[in-house]
Amino acid sequence: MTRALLLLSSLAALLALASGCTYSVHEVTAAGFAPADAAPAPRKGEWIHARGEQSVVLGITDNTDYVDRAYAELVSQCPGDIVGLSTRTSTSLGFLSYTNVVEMRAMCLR
Amino acid sequence: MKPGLLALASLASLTLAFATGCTTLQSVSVTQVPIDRTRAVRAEVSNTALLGIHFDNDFLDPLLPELLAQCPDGRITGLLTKQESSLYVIVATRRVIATGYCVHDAPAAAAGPDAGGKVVMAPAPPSPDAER
Repeated sequence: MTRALLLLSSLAALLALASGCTYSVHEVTAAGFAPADAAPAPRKGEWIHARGEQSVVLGITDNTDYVDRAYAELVSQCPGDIVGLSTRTSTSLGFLSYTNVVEMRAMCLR
Repeated sequence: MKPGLLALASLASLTLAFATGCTTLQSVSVTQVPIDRTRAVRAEVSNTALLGIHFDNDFLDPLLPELLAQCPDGRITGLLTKQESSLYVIVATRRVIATGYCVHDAPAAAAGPDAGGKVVMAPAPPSPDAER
């Protein structure tokens, strides 16, 4: 019985690691809903989205530049005010590796 | 695989891991982004400790003055703040990086035609003692 349980646990662990079925959300923030600039007339708002990823093998990495890339991508999509920014950081687990993800959503005021 | 080759491969992997370090993102936040993005500001503070044993969080204190010094007459917005930590063998480093934009408002837009670009404070409410 013990041997079968051990085998079953090993199979479950292997499946989890091999299929990358473990996902975790670390932080979600939402802020900055007031425009940074005053406007004389109502502006049209549209949602924009940017995503940054970093693949890490064996936990070896020396930077968090994927966040800067996501921010640059978000800002490049909108020449006007960007408000209502929400950020989400998460990790998806793979086989001997994981992927860090940052997602930024905001409203572009044109 | 020969034991010698396996040991060498393991040693090489460990060396790579220790030399490169493991950096993890602890927190990220962004504030509203302005239209005028011509004046970028940036500040970074860090704190390194053996075995990750820190005795205070004072390393954070210079961050705000450093940012404000780059934008003395304006306001800072579009601020991306990252907190990350790195582990190198037995040394741990905490780091906070803030980047944003300095915006100079027209005096009229900032605080009215008579304000001259300065912040105008509302008069303080009368204290309860004064009403007695």
